[in-house]
Amino acid sequence: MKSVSQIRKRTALIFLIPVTIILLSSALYPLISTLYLSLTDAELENFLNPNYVGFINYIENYEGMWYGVLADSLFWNSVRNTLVFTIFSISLEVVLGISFALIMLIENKLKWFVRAAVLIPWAIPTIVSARMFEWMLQDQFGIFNYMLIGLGILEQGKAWTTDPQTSMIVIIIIDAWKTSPFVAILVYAGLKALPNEVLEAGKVDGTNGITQFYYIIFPLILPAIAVAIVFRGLDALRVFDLIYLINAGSKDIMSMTVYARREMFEYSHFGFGAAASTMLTLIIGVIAVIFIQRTRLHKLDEME
Amino acid sequence: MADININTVNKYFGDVHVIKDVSLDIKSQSFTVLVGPSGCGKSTMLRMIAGLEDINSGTISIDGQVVNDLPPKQRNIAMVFQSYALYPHMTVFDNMAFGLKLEKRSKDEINERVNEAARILQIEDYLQRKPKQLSGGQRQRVAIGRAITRKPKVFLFDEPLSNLDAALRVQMRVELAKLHNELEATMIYVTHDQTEAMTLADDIVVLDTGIVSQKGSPLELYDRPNNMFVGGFIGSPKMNFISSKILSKSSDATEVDIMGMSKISVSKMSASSSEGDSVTLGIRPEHLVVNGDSDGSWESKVFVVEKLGDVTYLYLEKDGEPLVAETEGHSEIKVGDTVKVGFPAGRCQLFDSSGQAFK
Repeated sequence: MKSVSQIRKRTALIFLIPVTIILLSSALYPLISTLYLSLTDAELENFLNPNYVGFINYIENYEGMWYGVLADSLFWNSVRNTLVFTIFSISLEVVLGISFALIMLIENKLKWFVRAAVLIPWAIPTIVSARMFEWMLQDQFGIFNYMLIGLGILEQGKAWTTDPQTSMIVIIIIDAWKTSPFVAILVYAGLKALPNEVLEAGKVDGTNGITQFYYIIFPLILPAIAVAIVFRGLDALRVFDLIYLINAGSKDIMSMTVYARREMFEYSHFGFGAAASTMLTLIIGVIAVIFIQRTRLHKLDEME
Repeated sequence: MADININTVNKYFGDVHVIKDVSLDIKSQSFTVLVGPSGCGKSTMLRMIAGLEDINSGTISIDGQVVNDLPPKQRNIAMVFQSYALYPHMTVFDNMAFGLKLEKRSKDEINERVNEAARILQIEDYLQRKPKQLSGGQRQRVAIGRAITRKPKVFLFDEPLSNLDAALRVQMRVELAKLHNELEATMIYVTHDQTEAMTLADDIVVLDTGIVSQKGSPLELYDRPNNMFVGGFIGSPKMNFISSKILSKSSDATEVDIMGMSKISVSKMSASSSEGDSVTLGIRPEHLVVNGDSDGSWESKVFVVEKLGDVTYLYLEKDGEPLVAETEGHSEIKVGDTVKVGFPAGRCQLFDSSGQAFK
């Protein structure tokens, strides 16, 4: 006779098999093969029979000079770009997302319109929104420059997306425009789940709009915000499409993923590109672990 | 001093008229209990006094000042909610200190007041804990403590004990009564539990679908209900209601029949009644006389016997008229026995066809 808990454990294991197989084949296999590729000299000609070369794709001292991903200033530049993009776009998205969520909370006849309007940017494919902004920001015919010239702020059109001083800001703003709705939905759900009596107790205790938000609402939706930051953070660290679409070659906005793609598919340096990809995975992993530890997100069940 | 005057107040939720022309005077330092079944408007009344609901018409004044348009914090009230409504992210101390902090009181004063409240409520040991680390009873104490620290003129309680288990409820009930004596504040308490109402109240206000059915001391309501609703609501088990007919009227009494078996003369009158009218006779289970000498009498088989130790309840029925009678704890009466039930005329109430009591 097996006990009930043994039977339950076995049932659980059976149910876990399909997802385990999918995870192993779709995540673990590519990860290991990339890791292996990064230790070889694979290029287009010898892709099927590459030679094992150790860690020279990562770092190598050859006749007094350093080579490899870790010695490439462009790689570190892309790391810096990615981190700048991540920190600023998420900060902006959290502020906008909370604001949108609070607006969505207002009960009136327009609420369905407001909720739909907030969500639309999230529903638009990145290729469309990237092209849309590109045209609006275009230096000769873009409406943005047209308005700025009309207002007398600019003398002549500015190429916002290619100008080294503005291209990163533009990317951050487009990303914020596009993904704030995602943060807004998570925060909105958090706001909806707030116990009404707690807010009323606050009113009796003397809160006004500002103190209510600062002392009661904000601390209570922090878990929802933390979840939004983790999701958005992992997305932002892996950002590829937006930057590739706006300006694939610019080193001012080149992200880690764009760097790795260029090495692999433009220069056919598969081994080197794989090393860059591995570094990318490592960096994201370390940041994710630190963030989750710091916010105690893995102990969310214990929070209230 | 904080008298509360409610003057012809009306409240609508959409098209639903939940409070209908309610007027009430609540004396300073009294303990008033609003009681009634679900949906009678008692919680809405309390929330209107608190300032959490708007009033559609009429006025509410606290201490002589009309507070219709004042937000809760300017009404000098504190409220204890059914769900405790503690701030989950704050410690017990911070929960109790929050109102004072918003009033920008000094640290010393906050410490002093919170510790004082914690001492009264015996929660000094939990001040640094979070609400979820506390039991239901402890949370309720914190909720009360949060109300006390602000020293309001008026305490509002919205079914504060209904989430507690039976034993704890009795204990907290006693403590609330003690607290009222200590604090000398005006307390308004909403409950659907008539035992809480009877034990705590100086005055009970019975609400029925948005109307004040009767206001009075617990015993007034118990002995002389204005109508069948109050008669049935106050007292447990419920007052028995038996359909009856007026046989004759004299100058100071009304003679009615009991199931055609006997007749009694009840010394209560109603000017609008006449001979032959259908009336309802009300009598409480504890006033019925089982197998003894009394005024009118009635015989029935016993269907259910409930032995509670101190008393025994007999569930009787005759021609579709149910009746509950109370007898002594160690009664020998068994299911299936036939008992004779007497109706002492002095204990009987009469209600006319619209439910109004004879006086």
